[in-house]
Amino acid sequence: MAESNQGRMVVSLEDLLVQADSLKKEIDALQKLRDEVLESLGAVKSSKEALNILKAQNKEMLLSVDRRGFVILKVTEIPSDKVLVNLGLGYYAEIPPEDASKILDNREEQLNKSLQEITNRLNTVVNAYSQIAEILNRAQAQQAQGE
Amino acid sequence: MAERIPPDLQTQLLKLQQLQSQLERLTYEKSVIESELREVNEVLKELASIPQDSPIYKIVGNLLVKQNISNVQNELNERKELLELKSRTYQKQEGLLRKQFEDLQKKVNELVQKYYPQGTPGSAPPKA
Repeated sequence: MAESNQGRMVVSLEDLLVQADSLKKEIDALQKLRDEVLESLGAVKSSKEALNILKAQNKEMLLSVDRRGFVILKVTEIPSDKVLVNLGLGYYAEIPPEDASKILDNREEQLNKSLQEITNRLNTVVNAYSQIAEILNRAQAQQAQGE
Repeated sequence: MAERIPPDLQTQLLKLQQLQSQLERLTYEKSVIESELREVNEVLKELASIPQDSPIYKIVGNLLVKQNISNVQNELNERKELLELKSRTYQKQEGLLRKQFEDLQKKVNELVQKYYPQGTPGSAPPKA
């Protein structure tokens, strides 16, 4: 329990441990969220690259039918006047690559903004956690000296 | 020997814990609704920015089913209205719960002051 002691705040070690545990959980959640956003950003960037390649396409391309590239197909002339782009909520629109690029640019911008917010929050929480950890380490050291 | 917490204080602390978990659950549900609402708004914005004759497909299982753009917009607008209504309801509920929580917190603090005037349990015997 926190109590006031001559204008100073006295907090029990138990309270600090609870707080540290709560902050640790938040750090884990934020790191997981940051990884997901980074993964989405990577996917958006590779989609944009693919669109650019389609625009300047050569006559022949190689297309992997799986993620690992166990089977690769030789493709000639992919029609690139229209592409299907994910709008969200399971909706896709068949639009020219230029419009698709705009949508992807917008999505990339939003993801970067989210990433910035998550990173800022993560830094704040990590700092708070470090401060509490330092206090707890000092208390532990004092206890060890006392013994 | 560890001192037992007075029954009335224990009851109020239990109520406070229950209110806190209710509030946490409600806040989580509200954030889910709000994130879905953001996504609906985003899709509506995208739909407004693309050529209105663009074919739209909806993913159903492993199939992409062709849809009419105006039907999709109507469907999403209905969904948006429903989500906004839910969001407002959650906001009201959250306000009420928060008020209850703060009132109960005051009550608990008063009881703590009554039973433990020195500020820490165990520092003084509970008053009858």
